[in-house]
Amino acid sequence: MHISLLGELEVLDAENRSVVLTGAKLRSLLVILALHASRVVPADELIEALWGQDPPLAVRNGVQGLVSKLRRALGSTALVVMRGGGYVLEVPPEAVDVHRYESLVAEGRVAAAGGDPGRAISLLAEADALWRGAVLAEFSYEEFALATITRLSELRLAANEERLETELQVGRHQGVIGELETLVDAHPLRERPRGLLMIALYRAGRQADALRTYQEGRHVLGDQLGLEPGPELRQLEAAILTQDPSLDAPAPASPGTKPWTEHRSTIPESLTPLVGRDQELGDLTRLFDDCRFMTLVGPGGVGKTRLALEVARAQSRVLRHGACLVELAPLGDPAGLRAAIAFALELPDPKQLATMIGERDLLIVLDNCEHLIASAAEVAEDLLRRCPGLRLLATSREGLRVSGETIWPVPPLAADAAVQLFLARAQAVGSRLELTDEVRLAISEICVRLDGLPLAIELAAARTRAFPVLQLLSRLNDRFRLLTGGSRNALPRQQTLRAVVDWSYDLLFGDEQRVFERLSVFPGGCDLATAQAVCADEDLPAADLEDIIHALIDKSLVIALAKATEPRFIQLQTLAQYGREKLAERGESERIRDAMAAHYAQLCSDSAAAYHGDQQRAWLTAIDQERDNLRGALEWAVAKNDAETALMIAGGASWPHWLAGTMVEGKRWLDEAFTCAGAASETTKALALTGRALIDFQVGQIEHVDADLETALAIFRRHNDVASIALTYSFYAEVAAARGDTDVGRSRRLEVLDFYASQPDDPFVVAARAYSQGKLGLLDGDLAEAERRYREAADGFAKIDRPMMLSMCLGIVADFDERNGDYRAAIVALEEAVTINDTLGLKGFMGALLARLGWALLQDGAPERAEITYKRAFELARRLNNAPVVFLSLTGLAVLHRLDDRDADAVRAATEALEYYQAGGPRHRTGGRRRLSNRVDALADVQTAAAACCGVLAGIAATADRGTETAQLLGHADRLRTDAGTPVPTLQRADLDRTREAAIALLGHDAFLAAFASGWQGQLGIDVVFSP
Amino acid sequence: MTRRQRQLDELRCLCDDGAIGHAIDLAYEHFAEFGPDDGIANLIADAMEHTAVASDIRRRFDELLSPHQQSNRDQP
Repeated sequence: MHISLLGELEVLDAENRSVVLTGAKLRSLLVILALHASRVVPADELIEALWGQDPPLAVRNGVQGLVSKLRRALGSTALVVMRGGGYVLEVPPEAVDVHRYESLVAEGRVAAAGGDPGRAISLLAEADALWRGAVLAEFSYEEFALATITRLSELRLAANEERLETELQVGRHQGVIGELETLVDAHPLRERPRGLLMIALYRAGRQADALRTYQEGRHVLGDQLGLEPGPELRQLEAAILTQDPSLDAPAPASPGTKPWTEHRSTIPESLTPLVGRDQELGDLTRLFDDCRFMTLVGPGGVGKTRLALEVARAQSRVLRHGACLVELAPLGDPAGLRAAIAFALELPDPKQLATMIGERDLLIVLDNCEHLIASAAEVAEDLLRRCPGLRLLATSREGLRVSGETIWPVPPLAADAAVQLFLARAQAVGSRLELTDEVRLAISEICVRLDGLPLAIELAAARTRAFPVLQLLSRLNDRFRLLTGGSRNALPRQQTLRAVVDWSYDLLFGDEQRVFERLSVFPGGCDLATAQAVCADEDLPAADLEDIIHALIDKSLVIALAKATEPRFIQLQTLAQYGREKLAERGESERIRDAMAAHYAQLCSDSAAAYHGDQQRAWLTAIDQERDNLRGALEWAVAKNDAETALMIAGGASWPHWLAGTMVEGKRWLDEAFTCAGAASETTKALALTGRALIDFQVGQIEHVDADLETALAIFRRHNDVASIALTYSFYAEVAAARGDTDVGRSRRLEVLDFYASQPDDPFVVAARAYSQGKLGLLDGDLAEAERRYREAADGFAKIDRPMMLSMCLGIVADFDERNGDYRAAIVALEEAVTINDTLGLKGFMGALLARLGWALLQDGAPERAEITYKRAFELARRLNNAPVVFLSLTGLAVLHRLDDRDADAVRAATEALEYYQAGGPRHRTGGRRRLSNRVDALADVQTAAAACCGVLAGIAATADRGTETAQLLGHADRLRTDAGTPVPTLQRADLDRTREAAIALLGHDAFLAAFASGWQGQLGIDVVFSP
Repeated sequence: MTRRQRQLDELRCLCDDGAIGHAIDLAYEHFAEFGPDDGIANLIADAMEHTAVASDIRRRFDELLSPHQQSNRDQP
């Protein structure tokens, strides 16, 4: 679902079809809800916005009718739900362009403040591109829209000014003059754009125009407002008159001053405002200046996580590489701690965490460490010792007790803040409190009773919808008196929360209690369909689950997170733990956990069908979303020695692990599953063997790969399991070809073709056959046949929406487009492949696709986009430890910088690339591919890329009049290309020709040939060295 | 069986077991979700006639039925 308000109202459903909304009130209703996406809009507020101060008598029916109409128009009842005393549009904020815009502007400002102007410009430009016309123009006479229109229009103006100012900072004065002139014409009284225009004109050598711009502004201000320009503009005029050097354009960045960085933050935005923690936030921020490791300790419900996230969000703005949240609550096994951190950081190998984090300035939040305290302490100590830029912020019931740790007890809320929180939460659930003195006093007393514990206060406040405040107080007093044996003395704090959770639980009907307990078995939360599948039984109809869960949300016992398709229901750790206890007391723990594990085993049993079937996209999305639950189900199955379930989960999820680039985690799952001694069907074992072979091959453990795949194939053939045969065959043929065994690769590919020939001609079989024929074409060196077949396969897979196969075909089709010199077509194909992988969260191939896209963009004359793309590829590949892509990205950047006359940057990129080359990583990883001689993209060939780097360095050496080194580098480049059998890239040809002529001019013909020959024979890095 | 009916049955069981205070508490929740229900009010009132009930529980029941309390929950 996409809702666009920055221009004419436009609504697109999940399939990108336009949704028609007729009627002014209906459109207004959607706009109001969209402006509050995923937050409750109280019914009274809606009524006032839609009917004004004097609504008709039956207005509440009117609201309900309008909401029903909107649900019908949107095609889903789940998108507009009633909650508390109002309605909420259940879409993630980024589905509404206004929120996306504000978020991009905020990110852009953070990047600018963090010293990354390139990223700031790109984000602010991306934000502005969302505007398609005047915001909410259709509603400009509606009271509810006025403040939003004013705010957004002003924000747009300010953000554009900030972007233009940042562009000036990086020396793009010439390029911004036109836009600034338009801005000044449109807003002649605004001094900031006028000042920026003056600077841009001055830097462009147009001093007189700069001064004229000032005078025009002075006249306009004088004529219209009777004012003189402000002091900043006057000082600017004076500086221009005196040609003050401070006005000069900044020098280009020198290498090393701003290394390639990627700032990212996975700290979630808060759903509700933080109440009453200003003092604590200030204290923690100051403390963080001096200590790298802090643990927030305190009883459950005191607000450790909330405070940690607020601190982390603030820190992420100032740390160069941002901040990352690692939620440890879903983790049952301490052995998975490093994997959880690696997954959160998108790093491939948990064993090399410290190496991959390196010197990054990064904050990691380890949330809820208490059940993994020993492992958390060991990992924290290790990382802090080896990663000097790393900071850790942990939350736990107790300290981790490692050196360098600052333990910071989180205090309860102060009295005023507690009351404020109570009122805010009561309002959020739609309570209408009459705040008499008596009620205020009662609220204060409740907060004191609850020790100022935020979670306890939230739980009590959520009940104000049903109970008058005075009754709440009386019931809590009764409850506490019972616990303290009639005394009014306070309970220890941890017992206070327990008492309130008990009280809150007792106020649930039986079906609500059961759902609350059963939801606690999902470490990663769940959607409605999963809750229905696992939690329902003969006494608890699946059809009632939605209402019951919403009742639990109203009572603050469950949280609904807005996701792209539908809400996801989670529980706070303290409440989930309580739920699990109650589930165990009821004697249902094993049954529900079994049901949960069976549900996820069932999901994974669709693995082979999803591989070739039409549910591929939905299945991959589900596997991505359910990772925590899959891990939880696997751990449960392994603990019970339930081999059938464990092998099904680990085996089924194996190829998604491969696509996501999380092979190490996938291997750990499989290894654990294979330790189960229980019985498993042979088809489940075969699925796990297929998965193990795939993962082992990817991580370089190839001894048993063929044997595993052959065993699996034999079993699937015996069961005539066509889907599984297709899955296994595709890997079986691929591994032989990928390891360079052309004959075996060919014979296995022919087997695959025989298999598909025996299947009925459905669209998948036709496309899969074309794909295999394309592969054969490559193996046989028949590129024309290969191209034709791959294009057929890509069309076929696109028509039946098989995103994974389509992405692979598009990558190869792009090769052929480049070979044909049609870079525009290659860009389209690669961009589509990138989008597919982005949408499905598949990071395994993203770096390679981006690096190739960078090259195509460069060839197509789009160096700015190429640079952005290469840098993204570089960061991603470095995180995933993907040496070939790091190498290719650096090579592309070196060529790009050389073409752009940024020789210092070019030298840095080329030498770093050659260091990777010398280390052998790229050659080791892509050697097989090169032997296949199927690459038509010159830069994808490692040796050709290394030659390109030598060419870049040669050109720069010639500029420095270093003739011998120039000739040696040219000679070595020639040798590398000759070995690879590839020509000089067109893009470099002119530069290399000039370089050659320059070297001959410097050395004379004979000496040039001698040096060239020594370079040809030399070892890169030993005989052929260029130091800038 | 609908949720509403299940809740009604649960309230009836509580009344039969003499857990009037708890029944009244849950009735508050029921009314907040489904609106006031004379059947439930009568059920609890009947139960109170046959059971010795503390005065504060009677007061809670009176407040459950008070018009002010009901208007507080009159949400669409």
